[in-house]
Formats: sequence, structure tokens, C-alpha cells
Amino acid sequence: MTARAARILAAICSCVSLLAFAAPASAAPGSAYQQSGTLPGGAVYVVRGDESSATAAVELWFRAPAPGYDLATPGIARLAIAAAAASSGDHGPSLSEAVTRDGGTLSISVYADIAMIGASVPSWDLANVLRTITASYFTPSISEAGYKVGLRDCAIAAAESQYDSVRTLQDALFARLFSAGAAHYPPVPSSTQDYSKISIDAVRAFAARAFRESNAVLVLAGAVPDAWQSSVRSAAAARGGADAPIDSTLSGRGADVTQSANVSGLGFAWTGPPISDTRAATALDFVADYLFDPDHGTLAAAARKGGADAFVTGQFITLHNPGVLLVTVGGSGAAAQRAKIADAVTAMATPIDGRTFDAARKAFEYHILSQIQTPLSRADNFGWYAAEGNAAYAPGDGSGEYLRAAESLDPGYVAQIVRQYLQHPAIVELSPHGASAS
Amino acid sequence: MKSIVALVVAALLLTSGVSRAAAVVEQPDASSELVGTELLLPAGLDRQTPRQNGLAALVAEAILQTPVDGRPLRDAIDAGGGSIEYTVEPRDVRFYLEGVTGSYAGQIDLFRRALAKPDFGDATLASARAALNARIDEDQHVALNVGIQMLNRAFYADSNAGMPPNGLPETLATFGSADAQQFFSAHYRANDAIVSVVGNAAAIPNDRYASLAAALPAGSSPPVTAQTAALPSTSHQLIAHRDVPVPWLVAQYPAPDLRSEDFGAMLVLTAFIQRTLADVSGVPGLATQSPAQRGVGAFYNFDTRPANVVFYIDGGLGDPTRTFATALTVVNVLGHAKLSGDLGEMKSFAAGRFLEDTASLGDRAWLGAVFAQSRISGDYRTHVVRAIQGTTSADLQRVAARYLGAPTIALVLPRVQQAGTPTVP
Repeated sequence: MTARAARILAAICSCVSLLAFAAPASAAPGSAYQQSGTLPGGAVYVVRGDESSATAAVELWFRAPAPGYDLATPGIARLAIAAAAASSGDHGPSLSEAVTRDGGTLSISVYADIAMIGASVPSWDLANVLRTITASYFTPSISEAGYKVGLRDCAIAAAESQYDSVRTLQDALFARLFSAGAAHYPPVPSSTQDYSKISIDAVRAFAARAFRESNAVLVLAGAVPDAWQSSVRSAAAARGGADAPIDSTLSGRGADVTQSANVSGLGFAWTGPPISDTRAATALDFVADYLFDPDHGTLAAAARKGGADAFVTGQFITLHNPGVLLVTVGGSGAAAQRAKIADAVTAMATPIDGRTFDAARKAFEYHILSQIQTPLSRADNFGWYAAEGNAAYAPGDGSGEYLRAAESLDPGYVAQIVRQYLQHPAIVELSPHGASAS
Repeated sequence: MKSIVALVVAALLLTSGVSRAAAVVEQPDASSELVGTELLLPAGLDRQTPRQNGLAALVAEAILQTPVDGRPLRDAIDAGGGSIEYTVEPRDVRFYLEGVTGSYAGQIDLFRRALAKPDFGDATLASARAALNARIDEDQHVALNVGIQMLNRAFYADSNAGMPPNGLPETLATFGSADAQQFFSAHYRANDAIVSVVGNAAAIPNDRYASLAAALPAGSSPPVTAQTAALPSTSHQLIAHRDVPVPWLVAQYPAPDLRSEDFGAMLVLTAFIQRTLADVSGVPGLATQSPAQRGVGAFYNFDTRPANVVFYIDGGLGDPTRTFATALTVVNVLGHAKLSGDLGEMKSFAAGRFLEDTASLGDRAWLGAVFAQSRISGDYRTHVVRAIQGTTSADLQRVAARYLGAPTIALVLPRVQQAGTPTVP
């Protein structure tokens, strides 16, 4: 069947459903369901359907080292995922074109150990985009044109990252925390030359290995029809299994360095528990929210109230093993926040009073839930946690595991986790324009 | 074009005219972990007299700082696992309360108590004033906000709706308890209230939502008659210098309201201009940028009266006047020639962007209230998508010619830029 014929058929199907909706009987608003399983071609899927939504999100997550399987090709994962999104082929227009043409949202995220391509589209467009995204990645055929668009896209991302203090600090801190492995390298290098050195053949080889169906987690959320699987371009049988989660080697020492950059900034990072230790990981999520959330955190609020040119943000990055608590401060007043951050973390090693803790935990639980209220944000959560090796721990998962862990927290336990993990940070200060690096 | 209407689920229910004449509309979603409630009242900028610049915001902020159970409402909501915020609009003030289903009844009750007995004492007003002054200062560093505020001042000639949303520090300093109480008593009235609920609404009894309106005195807010002085110029170009890194161009046009037959065509045109501006200015990258990330864009303020459309261009992407000149050319062509060929792609794009940009609970609660205020029943999403789907080439031409002819333009320039001020085409 040609792509055009497929679209006509989809339009006919939509007309049929128009008639079906005209019938008086309808489901109660807000029915939701969650499914998970494995497709014939080996992809793991997680589906969270929601009848009240007018949009649907579809995402593919792959375990793949950002600097390549040889750890010597920085940027290859970012280039490969972009090039595949920009390549048209037997499946019809490129994924990028299919999503943007109908007013959808295309997302690309590359981390040290995982890569994601995703789209959020109006409900009527889901079948088409689901066909395109699975065809584009499960059997990637990267065209010359797609490769060039991918190169341009990466060059732009590289240029932008030079002025992104959070990105710059995270890269610098991870390079200190991890002495080897994917996490030692920036997932999105800031030098365009890194990308231009990567050949199309290398990109194709990487895509064929990283984006194979059996290495994928497919996530659907929002207005997902029951028959969604009919739109997936899945192989008849799996070729091999999924790669194991990709861990990196810890350096085992802290650091306190200054390095030059295009922006000012200050960053702290501590290694934390693995994703399997859900209670401890949730405790550090709580600490990050309580102290460093840019909107609500006590430190961020104090910086705002004091009129400082310092934008504080922090999060516990729930990696497979270990996780990392990352705190960054942007702005010209960043350096002045150093002692305040250190003092705030030290203070958390002593249990905070019960009333304050109860309020902070309730606020934390709300912040977590408010971050998964759209299909796209929910899909992001499901995909991340599945790719990092603990799908059931995703906030919003039907098992309720995350919220149970949050509700189990108490002041003493949080203080214990702080004492256990938040002792020896890596610290990086960014000095703009020519200050010497150490 | 595909049958996009078919897949939009009609889920908005007008539940009652409870609480005297107040309306409660619901978009129930039993699967949501959260509930959001919007309270919409006609107590916005146009209810201010010329001497009351900022009073609408001061009253709203004071309500959020009213002590309940020993701490300001905003802090009490936060500590209970939720959030509350407000927005002062040209015609309305809207509060949005969001929280977790299990504790939402308590959150609603806190808000109801603050509405029933707001504290306009000196201490609360001082805190509210300080919060507004901080907002005003922040706004002055956001070029888009500066531009829109300048444009609104010129746009709303028949009322005070174009006053700055948070007032001015010097006017805020003059208001006392009596001023706030008088404004509240006059304009926070139950009969005008619209309560829009989204999410797991069934988590608490329906009458709790209506209790927000019931907390207010009966009656309706009287309009304030005002005639603003015309700007002492016939120029359609406004210029301001602020502490911003690059120049911005912001343009405003009149636009049809929600109930107009031109509504769908203007949605399509706005989306088309948004995409055109992005293409012309070379907005880079494969991934879709959020509205906050985009340096260029267009949005259609269909929720205010009269409605308007705003285009904006960040000079960080190049000379904004060049991009705008190209957009003007495209608009002129649309107004003078009927497009041939299939409009399906333009309409799909418009419908998609509308749904994508309004997916949060807060957006959905706001839209539920806005459409209820215009007495449009049923699911607003169905209404919007149908309006888009019914647009023809002739509609586009007519609407472009009728509305997009003579923009008012605001240029927000860095203070250091003394020479080389862009010339608007």
C-alpha cells in the first residue's frame, strides 16, 4: 500500500468514527487504562490511554551510549536520532514533516545512556505518526538529505549548549564524577566539528544497532485507541534482546574546579542511590524539590527574595546506577550561592521538624503529580524510568510505587540519606571569558 | 482534511446555575490525580477608574495573602500540596487552584474562606504591594510584556482595560484598606462568577465548587464608564527603551471574538502567521520549541473584548523589522487574493497547535470558563476544531482584509541603543 493510500484509508476510518461518536452511548469521561507488554519485534511498550485527552504522545526510548559504542564518537547518538527524524523513505514523509505539518510537537532528547524521539499530536493524527515513527526507527534508512538536516540541527544544538549554563555545568560535573563510560562525555557536544567528523556510514551503523526494535521502549499516552498496535511497524520476530542499562565508572573523588565558559555559573553534583533503591532515590527527589526547585525550593526562593541575579535549580537524576543529585546556579550572582548551597545541604543531614516536613512532603507529591498532567509529560516519565531499568517506579504508573515511596519518607530517613550520599560533591564554577581553568 | 472533529471527545458539562446565578462547568477526568478549578470574575482592569490603576491586582494579591489557619492563603495551599495563582486580565480576574484529589476539598475550603473574608489590613496590603512591585520590576525586563502593555494602552480606548496589569508602584502606594474593600465589594459578586473545574472533579462533592461563588455577595459587578484620552499622536508605532538585550517588535491587530463567524478563520490565520514568522526568521532545529522558547510567534487573544491578535519578533534572531516586513507582505497577499488549492494542511496545523498549546489542566480550566462566559455550550475543543474545519479560502481572504490591515506596532529597544533604531516598514 502506498503512503497516500494509507492516508486515504485513515481518513475513511476517521469518518467512520465520526458516525460512531454520533451515537448517544458514550464512555464516562475520563476513563483511563494502562497496558504494558512486548511487541512481536521485541519492543517493550507502555500505554496509558486517557479518553479525556485530545492529544496523544508517542515516544521511543533506546539504551544507547551518546558518544557511540566505542565511546570515541561524541555526538553520534544526537546526530543519528535527528537524521532518522529528518529522513523520508518508503514510509512516506519524514517524521519531522509528519509531526510539524499537523501542528504537533516533536521532541528529541539525548542523555549519556539513552536517546529519545517523541511526538505529541492531535488524536486524529496518532495512527499516522505511530506508523511513521516506528518505520523510521525500527528499520532506519537514513537518507543523505536527512543526514544533512541532522548535521544542521546538531550544529544548532551545539551552539545553543554553549550558552546554556545548566547544560554546561552538567557536562562539566559528569566529566568529574565519572572517570570512564558514556557519562564521562557530553551527550550533546558543544563543538560543531565533533558532528561534522561523523560520516553518514557511521551514523547508519549506529542507528541500525541502537534503534533496533528489540532495544526500544515504546510509550503511548493520552488519546490512544484500543487498536493502536495495528499502526505499529513491528517486525514479525525479535532480533536479539534489549541492551542492558548503560552504567559508567565513578571517579571516586570529589572536585572543586573553575573552568572558562561563555556563561557564568556554579554547579554541585553528588552521586546517589541506584534506581532500584526507590525509597532512597525518592528521598533525594524530595531534597531536590525542597531546597532547589526553581519555583518552590527554599534556596531558589531565598535567592529571588534577596534580589540576587542567581537562578537556582536542582534535581535528582534517577539513573540506573548511580543516580546524581545535580544543583546548578546561573547568572552573574551564581558564585555567591556557594556557601548557601553547602550550608543548606549540611542542614538537611539533621532531621527537619515534623510540621515543616509534612508540608514539604505534601508539596513535593503535588509537584511530582503536576509534572505528569499532559500526555507528553506522562510519556516522558514512563519512557525514562523504563529505559533506566525500573518502569514501575515511574510517577503516574498504575502500581503507585513512586507515591508509596514518597509517603514512606520521614525526617529521620531523609536525613540519613543525606548523610549517606551528600558528603563529597563535585563542584564546578564557570568563569566567563578567559578566566583560567584548573 | 481528515475528520478531526470526530476524535475530539465531548466532555465539558454545564452542571448547574447553582449559587445564585453563578455557573459551574466541569471537564471531568476520573483518571487524573489532580483537580484544577478556575474562578473567573469580571473584576479586571476595566473595573478600575483612572485613579485606581493597580487596584484590581492589589485586591487579587491580597486575597492570596489573606491569612487562613495562621498563614497566607498561598502558603497554606502550597503546604497542603497544591498551588494557587491569579491573572488580572483587561476584563476579568481569574484565580486558578490546583491540587491533589485526596486533599482538594480542604484546599477549596481554604480558598472559600479567604474569598468570604479577605484581609485588606495594612500588613496584608503591604505584603501584596511588595509582591506586585516585584512583578512590575520583572515585567520591565521582559520585552514582550513591555510591548503588549504599551499596545493594550492604545488598544482599549473605550475603557481602562489597557492599564498595566499590576499597576504602577506610585499608584499602588496610595491605596489603603478602604480602597481595596470598596473594589472587592463592588466587583467580586456571585452572580457574575464562573467556576470551571477540570480533572478528577468527582473527588469532592459538586457543591464545594459552587461554594466559591457562594462565598461572594450576591449581585453583579457594575461596569465602570471611562474614556481614556487618545494618545497624543496619530502614529501607529510606539517605542520604549528598557534593560533588554536585543530589540523586540510586537504588533497588534483587532480580531473577531469567540462567537464571530470569523473566529475559525482567524485561528487559521494566526497559526499560519506563526509558522511563517518562524520560517522567515529561520527559527532553527527539528524539535518543536515551546512558546517561551520561540523568538517569534503569534497569539490570538480571543478571550478578551474586543479580541486582538499579537505578533512578536525577537531581534536576537536578526533585524525584527525585516521579518515583520515579510509577514506583512504575506498578510497583504492573503487579504487581496483567494488562496487556491487545499487548505487542509493549514487547518490541520491550526487545530494541532491549538490543542498542543492548551493541554495542561490550567489551560483547560481557563478555556472552559472563557467559552462558558461567551455562552458557548458543549466541549470548547469541538467548537474550536469545527470552526477551523469550516474555514474556506474566501473566509481567509475576508478576515485577513478586514482585520489584518493596520497594526499598531511596539518597538522595545535596549537602553544602550541610541542610533540605528529599526524603521518599521
